Amino acid sequence: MIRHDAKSDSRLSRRKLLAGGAIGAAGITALPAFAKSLVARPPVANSVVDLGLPNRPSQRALTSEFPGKREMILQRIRPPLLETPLSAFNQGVITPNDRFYVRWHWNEIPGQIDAATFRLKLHGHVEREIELSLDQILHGFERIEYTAVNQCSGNSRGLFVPPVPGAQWGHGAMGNARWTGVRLRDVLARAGLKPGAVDVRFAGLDEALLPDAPKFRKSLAAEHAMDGEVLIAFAMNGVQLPLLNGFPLRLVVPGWYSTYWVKMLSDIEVLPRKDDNYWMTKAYLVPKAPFGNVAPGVDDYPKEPISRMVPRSLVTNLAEGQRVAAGRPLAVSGIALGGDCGVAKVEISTDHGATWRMAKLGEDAGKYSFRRFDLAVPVPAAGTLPVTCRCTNTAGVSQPLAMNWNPGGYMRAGVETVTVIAGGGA
Amino acid sequence: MTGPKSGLIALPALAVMLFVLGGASPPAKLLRNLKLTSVSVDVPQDFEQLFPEGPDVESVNTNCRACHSPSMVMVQPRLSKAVWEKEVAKMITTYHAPIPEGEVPKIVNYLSSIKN
Repeated sequence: MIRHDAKSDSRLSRRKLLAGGAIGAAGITALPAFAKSLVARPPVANSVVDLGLPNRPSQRALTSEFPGKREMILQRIRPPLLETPLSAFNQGVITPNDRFYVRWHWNEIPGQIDAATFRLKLHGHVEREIELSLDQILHGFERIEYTAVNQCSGNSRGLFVPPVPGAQWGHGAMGNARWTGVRLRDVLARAGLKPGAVDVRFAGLDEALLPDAPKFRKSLAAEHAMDGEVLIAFAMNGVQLPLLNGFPLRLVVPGWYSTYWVKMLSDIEVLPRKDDNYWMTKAYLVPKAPFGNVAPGVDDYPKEPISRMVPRSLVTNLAEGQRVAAGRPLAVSGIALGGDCGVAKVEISTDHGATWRMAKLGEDAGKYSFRRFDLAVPVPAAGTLPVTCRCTNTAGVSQPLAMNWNPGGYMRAGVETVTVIAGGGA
Repeated sequence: MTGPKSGLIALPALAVMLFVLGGASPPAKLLRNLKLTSVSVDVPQDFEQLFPEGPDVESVNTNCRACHSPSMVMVQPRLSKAVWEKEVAKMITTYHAPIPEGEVPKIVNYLSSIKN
């Protein structure tokens, strides 16, 4: 369980901030004095990175001040949003835990979790309400593992044109890890679903500061929850999860966007009806259309909760505007994901999609994993060279050539291009 | 007759049993030596961080910082007044931010003045 002393301390400091707000500017000038004694120091920027975001602030600080994390792109301190630098994707298919991106909705995140007293509770429309210790979860069920991409619904939102509000991520709100845990199905079976179970709802230890604010909760349809693939993970890349990635338990929903991968999972509730909570019915909605695509300015269209991921690919060894040797083959390599199934092929174009060449695919680490691709492309004697990559998944879905768009900034799927310059260096 | 007959039945049954037992015995346990260790860390905070100067900055400093950093607000794209009004309304109606009604135009004024 959480040690509530530390948690209530930080909650108190936020409450004082609210109270300070109520009394106006005088309260604000008084803030740092008490804040210093109650909270950890703010992160110090080591250096700055440019994410290449169009028509908006594009520079972000890099920080190594967050627990369990090496250098990360700082998108927001509180609640923390940390982006994985692109360089971390250029070293194999696995994203190291200490570079894996971080995204929280609410700031009441316990910094202390006691492995001995933590409990996962199952309740609601079940035969038996149960509470499981970590020991029971680790030793009471068959363990399984697989490699899967975890991608934020809003990954790459900072590249949306026209821009939309929200976290202005580059491409680094995703990562690929080997997840080890137990099947959600087996854990649910221990409690026993009653006939008529419709949704299974998940919540973690994180809380909103304001008591009336909607607690972050997400649901899966009962049949999805029982499919034997959805995992309650206790390990990420062979070790326990970093606190900021959801220690001690995290739901893993392979092929689906990360909004469903509830962190610090502590509560599973079986519902005899569709979940109507805010996070399922108002937030994380996308247009009911291929790639969630809709024209800017149109706002009358059917919506649905975001769900399955779509194919994507990124060149990871070249930077925008990089100078490359003229007249010699250029090695292009990167990562692809199939979305909700495997990668079938990745093609490269250097003429804005007029012609395509097949890239060589790297080792297959499973259908939900990143897969590397490589190809040497000819470079002209001079001028710019746009390098575009396109993934097609095993269901035959290809990344669209025209970029998709929606007002939530979700599901970016279109082909990405990095433009390099031939000659004059390299 | 009963002896050999039951033996004939018993042999396949035994084979099935062995197969089932073989299948049921767990494979080499994944991460068999893994032990979860309690965690105690400080997550960095920035409660003392103020919004940069601007019109009605007192209002955003007073009403917006309890739940989130100013930093992400300051790197938003340039957004129309209507979009900022929607954002502030969401904070109040959905997230129950205790913002007095009279402060809303001031907050929107500050946010719309961000020159991104």
